[in-house]
Amino acid sequence: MKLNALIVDDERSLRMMLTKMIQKASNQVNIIAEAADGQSALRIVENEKIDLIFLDLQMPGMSGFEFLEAATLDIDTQVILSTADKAFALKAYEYGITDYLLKPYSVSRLKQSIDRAIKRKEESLESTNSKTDSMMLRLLKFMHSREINELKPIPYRNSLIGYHYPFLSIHFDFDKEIEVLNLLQKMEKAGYLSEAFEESIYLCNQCSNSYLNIREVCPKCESGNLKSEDIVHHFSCGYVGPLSDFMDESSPNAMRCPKCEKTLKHIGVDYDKPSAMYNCNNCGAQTQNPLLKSQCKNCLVEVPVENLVNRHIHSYQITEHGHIIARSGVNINLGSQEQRSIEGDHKLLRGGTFERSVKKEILRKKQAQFDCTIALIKLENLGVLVDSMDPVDAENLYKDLQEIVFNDIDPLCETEVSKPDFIFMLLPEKNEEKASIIVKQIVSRLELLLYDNYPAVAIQSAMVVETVRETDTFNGLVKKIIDLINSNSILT
Amino acid sequence: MQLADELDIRVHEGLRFLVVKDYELVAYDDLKKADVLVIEFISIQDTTGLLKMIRTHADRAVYLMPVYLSRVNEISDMIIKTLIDGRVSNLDKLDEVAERAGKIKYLAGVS
Repeated sequence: MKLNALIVDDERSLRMMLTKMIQKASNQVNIIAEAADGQSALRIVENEKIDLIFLDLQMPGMSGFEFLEAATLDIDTQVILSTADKAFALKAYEYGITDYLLKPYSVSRLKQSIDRAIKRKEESLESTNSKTDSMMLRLLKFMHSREINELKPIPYRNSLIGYHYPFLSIHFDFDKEIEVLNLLQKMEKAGYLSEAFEESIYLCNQCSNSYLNIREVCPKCESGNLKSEDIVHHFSCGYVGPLSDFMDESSPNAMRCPKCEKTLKHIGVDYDKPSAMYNCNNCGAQTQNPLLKSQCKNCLVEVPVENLVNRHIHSYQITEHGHIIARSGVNINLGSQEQRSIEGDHKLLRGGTFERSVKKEILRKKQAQFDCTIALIKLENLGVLVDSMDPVDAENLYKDLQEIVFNDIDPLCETEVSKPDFIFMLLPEKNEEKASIIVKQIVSRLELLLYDNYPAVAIQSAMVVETVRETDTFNGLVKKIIDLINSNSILT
Repeated sequence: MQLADELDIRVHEGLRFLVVKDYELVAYDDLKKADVLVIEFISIQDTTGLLKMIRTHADRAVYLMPVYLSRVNEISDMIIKTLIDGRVSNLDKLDEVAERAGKIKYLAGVS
């Protein structure tokens, strides 16, 4: 198993040195990208499947901590932090990192960190893959047999994440319940379920627990022993002070201004309360800006609220595809490599070469000016044809189709046949005009092959060519061209 | 209606209903002899434990088995509610749920 890694460090020489050290330390790390600052790293993690990030803490502009706060990382993405200042060590673990390296460090120390990350990844994959696949089928079958169309989460105090999913949650131990959300997310991506937003929740970044004590703490000593007092602003004389200054001992229910001695009667008319003052009973500090910290009631870790993990709770509807899987009882195998994302009825290899290539081009478009297009060919009735064929022959037919496409495109281009009847193509350095010529030529060859070998099946072709823009996303682009081909496509 | 062996198995509309009173005596082999399980409610904790054991069972015929609760007027526990297929008001009136249980078995694809 190899981990896809990203190196984030503002110094080029250190990135190069770290690359060499990683290569010496382990052959299980595949460095797929480098970033010189936090912003570039954010763009990379948005577009690439990154398993491991080697992150420098002290960078100009955006620090390592700021990057971690801004990034939306996959639950499986691990981070190894490095810094020359050990003062940050404790804080670093608040971000749920895998390891922390104090510069300078040796190759053997780096190897320890990498081995730890690999072990975590392996454990995570082993425990989830086979269980995940069978759990999906179990859930679909249960819902289908009971004609339950909606899986609605129930707010539940005894659940780690605070919500119980009928039938599903009982399969997970308390400390592993976060996997319920991950599994449902995978099922939604695979097209077995569709989701509807229910609630946004915050979880401990160490143990995923939802039972958190969130409170203000003193920014100086971090004690929660604070006493707050409203600040009062008296309009007529402009005096601003704590509420206790305005309390009149002779008449406890009245407020009297210590400056002008007028009685304050109506909030909004005589006075307002613009803020509050917090007095620390532990160290005596006074502040108007206390820290907001969360204490996990499960693992007792204290973290700033900004570092809590935000997840969305959805209800789920079983899709027609989900019903088909439940009825057929076909074993689901989403495995680590073969996860598929579904756009409408069509599947593209999730995280496959085509998806990665498109994402790279979108990323490149953000940095440079060049032409790039994506194309889609639809071969109507191809699905009907392959359904009538022996599976081996059908597979060979798809291989032949792919070969024709490969023969007509240059090495910069990428293609993927999406069964049953779509062929996606990425054409870097080609504008729409040039790409259309190439794609039309490919369509002619495909039609010829199909007509020569299967004259009885009327296969109608359609194609679309669309410019790739820096503002595009992979899923958005794929959806767009599928919608186009289903509506205004050019019939060849 | 008929009784078979020592197990309380009652047949209605071609379905074998296994009625369980003592949870500790529920064995996999016994479950395999039944199409539908009727659990006499004891306590939330015990009943939830048995239901979890059934719904997390590795055998599809077991985890998809129609399960009904008896001897309970109202089910207040939401976890139990999600794990059963309904309530049986009277063990002599199992035909009330037989049609639904048969449909579940048919849709589950287990015989």
